[in-house]
Amino acid sequence: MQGHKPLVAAMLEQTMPEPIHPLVITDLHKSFGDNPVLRGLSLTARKGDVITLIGASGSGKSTFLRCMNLLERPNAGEIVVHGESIRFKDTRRGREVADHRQVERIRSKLSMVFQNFNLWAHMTLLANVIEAPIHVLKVPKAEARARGMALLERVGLAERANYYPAQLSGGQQQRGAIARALAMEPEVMLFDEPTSALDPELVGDVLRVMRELADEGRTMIVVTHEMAFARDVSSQVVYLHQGRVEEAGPPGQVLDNPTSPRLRQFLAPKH
Amino acid sequence: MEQLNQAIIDLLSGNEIFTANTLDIYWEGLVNTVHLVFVSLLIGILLAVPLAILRGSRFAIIKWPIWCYTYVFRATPLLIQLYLAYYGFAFVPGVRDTWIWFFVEEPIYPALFAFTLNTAAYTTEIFHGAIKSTPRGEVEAARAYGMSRALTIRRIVLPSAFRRALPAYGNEVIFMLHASAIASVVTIMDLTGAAYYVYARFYAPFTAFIFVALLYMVLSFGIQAIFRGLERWLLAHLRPAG
Amino acid sequence: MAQATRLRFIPTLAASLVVLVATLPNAALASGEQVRIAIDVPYEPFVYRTPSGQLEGFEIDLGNELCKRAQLDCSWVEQGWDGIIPGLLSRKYDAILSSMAITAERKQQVLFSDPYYNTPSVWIALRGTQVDLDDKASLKGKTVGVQRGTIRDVYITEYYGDVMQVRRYGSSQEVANDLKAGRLDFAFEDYPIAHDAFDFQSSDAPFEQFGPDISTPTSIFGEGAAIAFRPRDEALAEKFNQALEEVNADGTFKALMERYFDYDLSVNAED
Repeated sequence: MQGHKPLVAAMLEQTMPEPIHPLVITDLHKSFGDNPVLRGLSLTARKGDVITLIGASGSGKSTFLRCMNLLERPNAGEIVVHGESIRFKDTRRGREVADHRQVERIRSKLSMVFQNFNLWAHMTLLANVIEAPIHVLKVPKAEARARGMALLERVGLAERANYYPAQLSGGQQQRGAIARALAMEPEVMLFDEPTSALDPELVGDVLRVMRELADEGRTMIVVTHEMAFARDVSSQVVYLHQGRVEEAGPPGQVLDNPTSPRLRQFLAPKH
Repeated sequence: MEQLNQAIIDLLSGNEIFTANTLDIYWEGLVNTVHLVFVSLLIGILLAVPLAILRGSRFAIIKWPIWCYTYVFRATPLLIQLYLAYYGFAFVPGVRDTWIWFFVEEPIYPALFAFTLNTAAYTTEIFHGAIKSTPRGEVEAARAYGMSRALTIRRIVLPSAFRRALPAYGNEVIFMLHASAIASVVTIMDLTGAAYYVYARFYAPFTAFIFVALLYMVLSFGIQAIFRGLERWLLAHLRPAG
Repeated sequence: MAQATRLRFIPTLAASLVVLVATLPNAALASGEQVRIAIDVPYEPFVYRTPSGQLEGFEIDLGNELCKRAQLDCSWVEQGWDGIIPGLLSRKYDAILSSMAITAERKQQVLFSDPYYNTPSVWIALRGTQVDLDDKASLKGKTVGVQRGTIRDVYITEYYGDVMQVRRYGSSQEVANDLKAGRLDFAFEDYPIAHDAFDFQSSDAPFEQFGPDISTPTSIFGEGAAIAFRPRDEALAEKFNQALEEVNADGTFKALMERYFDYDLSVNAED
């Protein structure tokens, strides 16, 4: 069987002892049929990093994010979450996940917030928040409820705890979804265009919550078009183009002094 | 109260059709109808849930037989299915000497057999459609939070699907009630059989059948009321706030 | 307004005339008139269908003969037993010649001709059945099949309904089927039907007549089979009565009877 430890981590260990990073991705490849979408992407998220992925549509940023929690299956490359590498096996249909239990366990450490909220419609907001902690993390019900109410309080939705998603505005639903994500006490939070489906007036509320999370020191990976957020909140901005990292670095550098001409064009104000 | 009793007695003795005897027959018919419909629906839904889940399997060897079964039972009239169950089993060579004969001899068992398989087929398709149309995002979110396939089905897909299937299933229940009217062709004294009996004895088609129609309507109202209650409870998530 | 009312008046007037004419007594109709006769098929040997689809049987022959004598243009209408009297009353046909016994109940709805035959009813059971018809306890829980709505249905329901399970069928053939299939312990049928359906002649037939011929009480079994008419059609009934007298007097009836039966079922035969 291939070595458990990814090459990079092994090399690093030999040079100097490093803290275990929440998420390390090495050389990720993904094709849909004949169409290559990710062509060798690598990324390291240190504790407290807020990494923003930007790029044109089709650049692969959403696919990249979805590969991190295996909602999409990468064809090649390594994914290491808190030191644990996801095991794959080769089958007739290509490379597949070797251990589903491992994937489920790892997913429980990576909470995702979706563009379309994806709250469970037949449950109340509070029920949404406590569902995964109770059934996946096996947290006792009373404890989960208490924590869930505290989280809803945190995102400003305590009075709506017994409302159903259909009875909430988009912004409220997304904040509820963030509370749901927080309830899992994740290593890394993944945000897939969290404000793209919201009316402009509601975007601010959600971004505010996200900013608070970043200030707390949460590790976040965010796919977004909100450049102000990228500049003000993130610790690293990664610009993707056609499945490759075109440019990456601190926001001041990438957004204000882009070296890549495509990035410059991407950032230029569009009339 | 006394007056009401007297009025009823007068009514009963003043005509030939609604005597104590025939009301007895109607009562027997009512009991048999409710029994037949309720039991076949109950067993039918217990069969339909796992079949509906398996119907969405990736493996052709699992989903094809189920598809065949639902197709056949939805593509043929219930009456034919009833005849086949009633007459077909009786002529299997040697069946009379086995213990199965007890179930073949009494008409209620072939009838239950045909009705149950029929409603199970329709219900399977209803649930399968509801399961398939579960919003993909909700399923994705469940998987993304570490829920296994089984847990996702149990906690997310099925509760969502059953709620969405409720109106269609309510219709199916009403249909079964009406469809049960054919049970009398295999000598079961259900409501329609009772009406036939009175009709044949007294040559009074209107009285016999209108009375039974009223009884069916009462049963239908009852079923609808139950489903309205269920919808109020289970589809609360679709109502506007406040 | 006045003009419209006048025009509307005309169709109403026409409709009233039609209804008026339709309800005139049939005596007004000329001879050579058309008479539709209803019959429940099959009821061997009274009526049955040949392989080529033709209707044949004792009642077919008798009916045709009577019509010839009465100079009526007759046609046969097949009608299931369940709806045979309501069909007569709603004018789907004009007479019923279908082994219908005269009973007090029926006399309240229809007008009968003179009876043209009389047969008892018999119990049929598997050869060697040991049961006593007078001992209710020995009959407990046994099943007996009858044709629904016949005098035999009434008899069984009243006299045995409390101990036996009565199964009612739409046709006598269904009764025979289920007895042969083993679903019934007994059948209670008209003698001619039982005789032919179960082949009483041969000594090794599996089924036999059980117990005596039953033809009392007359309140249930009636005075014999007769032709039924609508109550107002006295003239038509009289024509058939005269024809019946003729065929009895000149031996045609006897000849017809002997063609189908090896026993005497005429009205004045001894039981």
